Amino acid sequence: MAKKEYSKNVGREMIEKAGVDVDLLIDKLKKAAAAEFTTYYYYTLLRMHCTGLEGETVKEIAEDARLEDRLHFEAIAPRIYELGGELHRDLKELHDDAACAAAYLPKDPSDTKQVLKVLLEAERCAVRVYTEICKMTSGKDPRTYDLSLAILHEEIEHEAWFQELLEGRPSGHFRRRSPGEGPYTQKFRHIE
Amino acid sequence: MHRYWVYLSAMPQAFKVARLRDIPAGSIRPLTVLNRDILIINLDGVLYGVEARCPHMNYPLELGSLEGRTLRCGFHYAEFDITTGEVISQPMNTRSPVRNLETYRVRIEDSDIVVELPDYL
Repeated sequence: MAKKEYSKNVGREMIEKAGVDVDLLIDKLKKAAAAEFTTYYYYTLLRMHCTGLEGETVKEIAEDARLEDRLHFEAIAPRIYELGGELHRDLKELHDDAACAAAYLPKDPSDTKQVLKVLLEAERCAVRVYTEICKMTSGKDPRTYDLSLAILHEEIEHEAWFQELLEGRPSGHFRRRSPGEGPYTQKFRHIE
Repeated sequence: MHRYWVYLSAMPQAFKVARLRDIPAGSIRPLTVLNRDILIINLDGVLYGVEARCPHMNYPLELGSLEGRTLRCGFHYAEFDITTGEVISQPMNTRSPVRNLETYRVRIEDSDIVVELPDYL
């Protein structure tokens, strides 16, 4: 099927004129969205294995991170289309193109510390992903920058939470007002 | 004329890229030289140069971590030996193996760091 032609999109044109390689940016956003989507799935598994007294302390925080990662996917997806891109059409392709490694269950899923290590590494990768997009768009693409910065705020909090649980390093954690509140990405939210 | 060009193209090109004090021991610094992204790594006073992006998904390697000679990509955890560029460990999420990193000769002249690039015309 022939690709449909559209008139110019000023939102995209402004960013190109500012010096952003928009196709590369779309690719980064697709990879980031893929990472959020797969992380949401893998966190569901990890959360299920947070059992017993030790696991129960992790479960609530893992749940906040899990739900917020899904919201990040929802927040990024429209931006990909605004810029002229589209989401992966094949879920397998999405999985393999994700910006971060799959957050697989550890060999011994009953070992809560191993579960926490997986969660922590996943958040660290996410911090790198959004730091890179922020650098790429700073001063050039205010909308993508604003969105990426909001997500980055939450990913940094997630990293700090899991680091506190694993190592005892204080994170300054306060409970979310509701599970998966997403306080920084709220303004980009289209679903509850 | 053509042979002369070939001769020139075989010559490595050297560029002063930073002062030695800018890249202290244990640090990693990304630089762009002739549109080529290079990572300069100071490992206990010995300088190494490798390409700055992971061959797996083109993510910046400076956001990863360095343990001894092993540079680990912070995204899918591919690991490379910075002294040779060789892959030590393949990344996760990949069905085809990634190639080794390109390496660059790095030397110190006075207090300057000089990188040699093979000509790639």
